[in-house]
Amino acid sequence: MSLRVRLRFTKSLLRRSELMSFAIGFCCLGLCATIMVHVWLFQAYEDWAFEQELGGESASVSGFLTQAVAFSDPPAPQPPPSLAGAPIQEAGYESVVGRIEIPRIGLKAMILEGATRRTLALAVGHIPGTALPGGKGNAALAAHRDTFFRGLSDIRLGDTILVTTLEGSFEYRVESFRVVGPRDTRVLENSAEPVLTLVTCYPFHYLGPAPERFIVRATRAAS
Amino acid sequence: MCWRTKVAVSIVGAWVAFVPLARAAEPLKQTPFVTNEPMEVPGMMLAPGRYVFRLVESSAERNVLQVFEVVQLWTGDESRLLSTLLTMPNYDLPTTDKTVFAFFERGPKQAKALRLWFPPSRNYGQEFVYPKAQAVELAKAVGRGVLSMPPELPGDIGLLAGGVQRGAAPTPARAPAPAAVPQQIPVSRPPVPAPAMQPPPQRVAPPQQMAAPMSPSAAPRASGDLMQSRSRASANAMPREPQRIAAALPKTASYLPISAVLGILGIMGGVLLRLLAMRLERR
Repeated sequence: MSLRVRLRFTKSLLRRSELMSFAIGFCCLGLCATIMVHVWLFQAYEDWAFEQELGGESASVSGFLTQAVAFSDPPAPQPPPSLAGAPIQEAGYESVVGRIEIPRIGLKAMILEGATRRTLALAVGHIPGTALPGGKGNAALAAHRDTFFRGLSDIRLGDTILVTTLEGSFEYRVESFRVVGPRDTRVLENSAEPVLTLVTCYPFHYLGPAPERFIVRATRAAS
Repeated sequence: MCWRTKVAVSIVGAWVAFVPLARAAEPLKQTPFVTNEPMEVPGMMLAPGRYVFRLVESSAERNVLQVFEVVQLWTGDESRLLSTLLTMPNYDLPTTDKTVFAFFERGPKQAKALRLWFPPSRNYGQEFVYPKAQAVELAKAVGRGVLSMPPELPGDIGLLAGGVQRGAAPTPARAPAPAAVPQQIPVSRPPVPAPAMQPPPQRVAPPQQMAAPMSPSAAPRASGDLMQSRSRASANAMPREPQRIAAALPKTASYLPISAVLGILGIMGGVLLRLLAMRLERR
């Protein structure tokens, strides 16, 4: 009798634990899926809106949805308009700075102004206080190592980094990479030459906040 | 609920409701001063006379401004608020028990422009943030960096919607000051579109400084979310101001992998428990 009661109790406990385990699992995976879809939609819209602005057209959510639903052909890529002499415009926090591409590792992401948690969850962030990409000085970009900058683990010297802003398209070549501590802000110091610094966490396969930072330094290729 | 509890709840409620309002207008520091010659402050030229600076904490802006502080400029008799000025902390001078003012000197024939106010017994002073046009002129004249606001903002941030409370009641205990009525000469005060938040100030450098690369250690550091503008930006041809570089590199780890691992472990655990339960049922 006692053994039977015990068995029933164990079964009930197992059943409850099983349900709880499944609930936790599906909740966590659902959260991941939601975040990934959100980021994907954000990147898709911002990329589309950026292309529209490069083409001199205005961008709106309704326009994006119309184009997405209609599956219409994307507009032919146009060369970025020359904005020489255009008034210099300061970037506000979370405004779109441009787009970064590293063709060899398949990286393509929009760049937002700022390096807050929210910004980095959605896009590559331009670290405030550093030069803007394409201009003189050190432009520093940061992103999560487990999303946008995951591919930096395969970066090689000489790789091409393309940064497109409303000023034009700028090509950089990877010159060096190294690992530094999280408080080593010397990597953000300004320079007389136009350089690009990419910052992400290190080690790449660490779970949670990694203790170090992986720094990629690229210099502007002569156009 | 007994009457004691009701009274206690009422007192706590009143305290929670009214203390922030009282603090909003309460000056943290106050310095009366006299100027014998015209003096430039952000957005206006002060005539010789007696004035009062008040460092205030504004509850309205506490959530927005993380590194800035607001200084009110009052007439000497504290009957009229002349301007509400934006300042940034400056740690250049050591702490003293006296009030210290620092100026931009532009030559013997030109009015001095106020740069810093160090209230007594404070380990940092208030560096004034000038409107863009005024800052550019100053930077050219003095050959050094001047903190500036974007061009669309006026020197008197009290004009902005949601700014600090204007015309808070003057302290009654103050002795009346001589009737030196200051004269206001607005430098540039364009119509303001009343933004809800104020962008961070930039340091306008004189032309010869802008060409040279700047060191991050040369300027004050600050961080935080200050503006939520969604405007698109174009690249800046000049090196940007390094003054707002953070003290540490950004945290670039997301909780997505942890969440994914937890999710997978949860489902695997569920499957294992299911198998175990089936095995027990077979017995």
